[in-house]
Amino acid sequence: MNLERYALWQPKAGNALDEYEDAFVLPRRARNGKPFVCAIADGATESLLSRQWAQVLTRQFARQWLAARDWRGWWNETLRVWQNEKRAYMERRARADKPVQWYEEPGLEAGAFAALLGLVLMPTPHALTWRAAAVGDCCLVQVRDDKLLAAFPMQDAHAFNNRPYLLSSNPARNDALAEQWRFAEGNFAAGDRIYVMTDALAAWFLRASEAGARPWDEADAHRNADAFAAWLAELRATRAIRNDDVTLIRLQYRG
Amino acid sequence: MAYTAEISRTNPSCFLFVIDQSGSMADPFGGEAGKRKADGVADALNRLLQNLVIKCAKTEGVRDYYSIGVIGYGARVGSAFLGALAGQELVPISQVAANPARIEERAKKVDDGAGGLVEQKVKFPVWLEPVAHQGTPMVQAMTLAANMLQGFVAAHPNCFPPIVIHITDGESTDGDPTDAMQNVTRIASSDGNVLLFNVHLSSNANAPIAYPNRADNLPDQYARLLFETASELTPFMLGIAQEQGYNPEPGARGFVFNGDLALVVQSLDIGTRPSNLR
Repeated sequence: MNLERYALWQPKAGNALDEYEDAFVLPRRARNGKPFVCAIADGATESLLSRQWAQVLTRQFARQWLAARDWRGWWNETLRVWQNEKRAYMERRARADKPVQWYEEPGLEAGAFAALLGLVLMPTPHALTWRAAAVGDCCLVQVRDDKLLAAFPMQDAHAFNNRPYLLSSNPARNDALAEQWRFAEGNFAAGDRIYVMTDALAAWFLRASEAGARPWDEADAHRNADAFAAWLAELRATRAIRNDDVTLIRLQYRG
Repeated sequence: MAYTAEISRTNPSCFLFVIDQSGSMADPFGGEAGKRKADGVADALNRLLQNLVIKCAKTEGVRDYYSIGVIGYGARVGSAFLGALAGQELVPISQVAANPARIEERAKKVDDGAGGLVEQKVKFPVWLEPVAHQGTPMVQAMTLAANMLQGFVAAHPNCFPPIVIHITDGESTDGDPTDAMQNVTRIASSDGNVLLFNVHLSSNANAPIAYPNRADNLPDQYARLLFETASELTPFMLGIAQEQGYNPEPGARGFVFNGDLALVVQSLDIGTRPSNLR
């Protein structure tokens, strides 16, 4: 599969690298005739273990989404994996003699929260089909012939706010989950580009596109980590973009 | 646009609590026998501090998004912190988290998952004890508040404006506090003026009132003064108040009569808060 791809990320300005709470999986190999799976997640600032939860979600999507019968099967397995992950974390804390503090208890009990968007590229005889699944405000944008062709699951810049429904590691917080999953699919033709982004960059991207600009060209002009960091610093300084962790996966099908 | 500055460790904001500890605070609260206003204030403040700390907590520690001060006024006017923080004016919130005077265990009823309730022990940190002595030097307390906030804003000129939460039964004994309160709300960072919330705890058993936009229905002159001097809610706070079912009218003010202040903490924006996290 001739698929050009890269991912770029930056923590929120003022935060250390290890405070970055997004996560992504972008495989190095894209085998001919096989599905290609990638995923992006955004851990909520106001929850504990957000980064770890975002990592579990993306990893689980990449490993098991296609094998699961439906989202429920995948979700139950993901919660099981999380239980193990959390147990291991608590054991590490105990070993390091760092007992849980009173102010951590409510957050650990409430659970970790994150938005997830997973993407599968399915080969068909003459092209590729993309299928995406999402909960929350990570966003995919498809560009064809220099025009925005599709945005999913957020359709416009106004749809973003600070209170999205997110996947919680605590089953009691996922009451309405069945209604929160969003699914979409489309053709991925030769030359098409797909940008998968966490919310701050996605909101900027859609806003710029709505204003008649071509944000895909601007994003494409900053393809390495340093250029990307400098560009984001500029967008943040002019408050064109909200100061938040940022992650971008860019895919282009070369036919 | 005002009230949009980012709250971060490099650009922290500030919470200053101003607490009435006068003799009249020993009167019963809202007509409830057995519960004094001073008990209600100490409980409310300890809970607010607890919620603020939890909001700033991550697994690696508490992030210093805020500096916190507590001024008590009654027999004396000054810092009301106890224990290791005694006498300190504004302290980073990580220090508040690390230094409650003591931690109580309290019983809380929680859902048992089978339609019933089960009692669970929860930790309740205490920074402030109920105090009720002598007069109500509100003017002096607000003057000290203004001094402390001027210092904070000078050090953080672009901060999200400090929030002052003043809890009282409203009867100042050292003169009309209107000017002193206006001096507080006149202090501004580049992002807007200090926000003053007045919480009026009355012995009067009237129904609670939260975030009104007019003084007509307020029960007495003390409530009206505290309404008039309170700041208008910011657009962001109005939005959150709406979501929480308060139905605030335009021009709603940060005034609460015999009610609780959960909204103040809920409406602080330090990043993404999941809508399914209550």
